[in-house]
Amino acid sequence: MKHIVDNVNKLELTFKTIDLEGRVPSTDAIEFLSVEEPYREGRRYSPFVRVRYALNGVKQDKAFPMDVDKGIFLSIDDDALEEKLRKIAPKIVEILNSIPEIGQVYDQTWSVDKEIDFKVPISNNPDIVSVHGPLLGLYYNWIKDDGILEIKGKPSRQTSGEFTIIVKKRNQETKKSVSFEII
Amino acid sequence: MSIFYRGAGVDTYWHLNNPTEIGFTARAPEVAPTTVRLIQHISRGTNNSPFISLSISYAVARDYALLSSLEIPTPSKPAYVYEIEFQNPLPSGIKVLDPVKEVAQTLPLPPTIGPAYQHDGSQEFLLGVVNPRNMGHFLMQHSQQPPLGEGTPRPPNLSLELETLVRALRDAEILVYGTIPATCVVNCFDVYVDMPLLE
Repeated sequence: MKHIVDNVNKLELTFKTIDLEGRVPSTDAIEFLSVEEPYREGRRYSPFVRVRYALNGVKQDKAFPMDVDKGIFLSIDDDALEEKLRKIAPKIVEILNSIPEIGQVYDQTWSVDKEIDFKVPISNNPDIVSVHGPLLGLYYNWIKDDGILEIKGKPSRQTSGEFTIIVKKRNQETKKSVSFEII
Repeated sequence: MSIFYRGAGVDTYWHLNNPTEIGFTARAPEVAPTTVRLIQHISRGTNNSPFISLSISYAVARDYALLSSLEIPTPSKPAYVYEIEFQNPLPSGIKVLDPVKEVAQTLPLPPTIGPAYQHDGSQEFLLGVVNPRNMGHFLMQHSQQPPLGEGTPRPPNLSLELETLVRALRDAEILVYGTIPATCVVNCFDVYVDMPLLE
């Protein structure tokens, strides 16, 4: 059978790393180090993540793949290892679900003196939401039940700049910077 | 003729073992193919399963290949998506099952006394089931009851059956019971992540 290279369906991903060290109990010789979450065009992509680990204190090039929706590790052929990892999976899911996320925000182009008004999806119910930046009369409203952050204000006379959205939940903080340009 | 796909991540079993030579076999072919096993297979991913998962969707199989890899697939070491073709009649000894239909036919009719498979939360509850990572807060919302009918506060009911239906639909999943002959594996697509960057 011939292998056909799929050059058509390009999938460009970046991986965001979430530190696990000390937050998940080790199992025998395995220490769980971090989770790599795939992102595509700034948005989280797929329910799968990769859990990086050390074996006998040596960081491995390989990772354990995990389906976060199902709370299970994938592709583990060793039954004994699979049994051990099964107990760890819910702890990793809990850590991932405690991280608040800011949805897709595109860089903005605005007109002078025109009030801006846009909405940003925020997931995982953060405790604190704040917006900081050079907007006149900056107003933001976190609509918790809908998971939406509404931002209003007028761009100042600067021709370009950046404002930052910060969300916090317990000790987890997520920031996203949005560039804007005045035309 | 029906076409299905299966992803194989780098260095996983079906990446290291060539199904075009040995066919596809389940992890536990000796186990009886009951609906309970089917539900466990899809919603809990148990290894002790007599089923082989396939997808109708190439995109789903590709994501399994790319993201269930032990190493990130590259052009020099790609993951694989196998294309599996069944002619009519099916090869002897195999059954192809639609898990949604298999689960649905076991669900009780509405007058039955006992727990329903449906949830008892808001219309947004299902969003939490479909996408728990981004919308998991909908799973935790208080299950509202009629006035004077309040009991202990609790989140809405999520049955294993409903979870299985949602997960099977997420993956456009089809199950095969029995060994898939090597002759049914007609193509292998090499897939890789484009320019991965670690942040």
